[in-house]
Amino acid sequence: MLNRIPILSRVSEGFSNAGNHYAIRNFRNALGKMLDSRMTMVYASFLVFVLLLGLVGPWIAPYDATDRIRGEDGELLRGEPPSLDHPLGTTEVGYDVFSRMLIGARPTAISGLLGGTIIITIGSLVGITAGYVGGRTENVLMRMTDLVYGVPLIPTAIVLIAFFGVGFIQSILVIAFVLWRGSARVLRSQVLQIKEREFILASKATGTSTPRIIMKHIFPNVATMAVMFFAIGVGYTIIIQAGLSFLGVVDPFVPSWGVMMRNAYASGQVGNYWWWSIPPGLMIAFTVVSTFMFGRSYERISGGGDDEGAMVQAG
Amino acid sequence: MTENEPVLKLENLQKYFTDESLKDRILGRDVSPVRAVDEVTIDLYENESIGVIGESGCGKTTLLRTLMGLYKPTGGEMYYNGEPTSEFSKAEWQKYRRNVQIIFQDPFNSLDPKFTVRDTLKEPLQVHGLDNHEERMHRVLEEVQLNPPEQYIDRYPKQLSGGEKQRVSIARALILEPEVILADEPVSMLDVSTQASILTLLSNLMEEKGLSMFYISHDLSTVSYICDEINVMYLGRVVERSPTKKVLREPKHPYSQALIDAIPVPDPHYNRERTKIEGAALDPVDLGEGCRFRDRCPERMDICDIKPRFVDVDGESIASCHLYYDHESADPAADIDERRLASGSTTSGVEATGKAGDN
Repeated sequence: MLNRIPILSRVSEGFSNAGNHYAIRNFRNALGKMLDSRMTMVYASFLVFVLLLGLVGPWIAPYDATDRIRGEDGELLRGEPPSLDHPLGTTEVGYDVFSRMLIGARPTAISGLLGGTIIITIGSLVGITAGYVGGRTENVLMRMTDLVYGVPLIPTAIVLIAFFGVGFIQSILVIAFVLWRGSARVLRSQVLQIKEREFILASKATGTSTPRIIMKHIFPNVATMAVMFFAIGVGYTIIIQAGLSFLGVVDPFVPSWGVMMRNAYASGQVGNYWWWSIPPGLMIAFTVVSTFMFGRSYERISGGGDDEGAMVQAG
Repeated sequence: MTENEPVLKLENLQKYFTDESLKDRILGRDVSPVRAVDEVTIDLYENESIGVIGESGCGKTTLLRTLMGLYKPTGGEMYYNGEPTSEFSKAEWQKYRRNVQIIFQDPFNSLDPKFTVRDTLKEPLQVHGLDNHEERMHRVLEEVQLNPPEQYIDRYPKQLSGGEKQRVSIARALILEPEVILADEPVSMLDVSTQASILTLLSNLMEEKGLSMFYISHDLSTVSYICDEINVMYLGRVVERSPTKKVLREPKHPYSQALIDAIPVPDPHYNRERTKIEGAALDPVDLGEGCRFRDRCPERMDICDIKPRFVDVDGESIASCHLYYDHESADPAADIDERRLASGSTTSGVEATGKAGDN
């Protein structure tokens, strides 16, 4: 009944022309509605702020990330508390904390977006294919997902990074290749629900091809959920990467917020120089909370709001 | 298509579901199939409408999905304009799908919530490579009385009422100008006043366009409104086939009688006869031979353990019931043999089934 094998290649082909008009139209509709909700606006503006920092941060930062600040007497300014010249003080080796905060937005944004994209791409490919095709394909894909569920994230990440080398991109890849599991599972269950609905049967009865049904009916109907998983994926990647930075298995020369906390901790001065560790910590926390809440409200507003369970299952 | 050839012809159509696990296969266990549709024979001619009624779980939906080509029949054959569908090529299936369209029961589920009316109507046109989209869409919307079409064409399902959604579903079915409409209880989820207008619309459209319709329902009152002939189905088998008026006036099979008795009469003082049947339908697994209604039948006889033949009761009604033929005169020896077979001895079960299958 279904042509099983060519489906993967044709689905991926379908994704490339996903810029079809109603996907954009639905997204615009949902966005319009979100602008009416004040709390969502707050989260959204914070995310836009972080993204903008990621774009222009390095240019507007008063100092370079590796500039060591010297006082008028030529001495290094070590652990200077916040002042007008240095709004967030300096580090133990004389870096300007404020500048490093601005510069650190870029790696954070990149890791979030890249991680989220990989997570949702693998998750929706596996989930939608498994859900729609069913049978043996579903069995293989979902057992694979179960296997990944058995993987403890942080220890595995540490081991894999040891294999592939300590690096910024490597850490993102390792995280994303584990975290797609949640979205695959939930999207599959969504697809299982949708594919039995009568508009799919009507479409099949008209002779619509399987790839077309997936692209035109299934994907738009799980898209809000996919957007939510993208947001959650962004948040998770950022926070876990921060965790890995803190453990010291991420490239220390990319000045992300996680690395800043790591450096503060490694210097042994966390207790004394609070301006060094707390601001990046807060930025990470705010960013992650904003992505979660943004995804949640996008899904609630455009998806009709009857999917309380999805956020819980997502973990 | 030649004269007098049915558009759609089902011959002993059979759909069994076997849920055999790997373990069963390894242990060589025989799993009894679910006999959802068992030897159904129906002819649908041009501009004719045939009703199939029966309670939930009697195989109506399976029959419909088999007709849609979503399930492959496990036995029997389905002919479309005289061509057996089991030998259809991909192109022929596509042609079949263009000419056989479906209207579903639940208007709230049968339209994609992310599609406007325009998208919904456009899809079949795109799939079958037709042109003049705008013109066709406007015409079909006018036909289903969504006037003016401009007002409806850009709406989402959630901006339409139940009746309007069902009109859009009908429009989607009609836009390819099909020969056959399969209707799966198209009005059962609508309120009564809307039901009436949708039914009128359907019967007018049928007349105008010379459509044939296969109408499936559990509700005799709507079926009788639209169908020329009614098939009563019980546990996968058709037990009676009669012209609509006939089945309402004098149902033959005990099950049809019970169904007719159950139609409410809108008069509080009318003291109607209560239906005599009790219990619920069995699972269509391991039913054995014999009449499937025998455990609930008020007229139960010993002979009911044998599969009843289809007999022509009075020139109009056909029923599959032992009440309507004289077993003695038919072939007493054969019947006694069959009885013995049915009650558990081994050989020639095939023969018995074959005989019973002859109408």
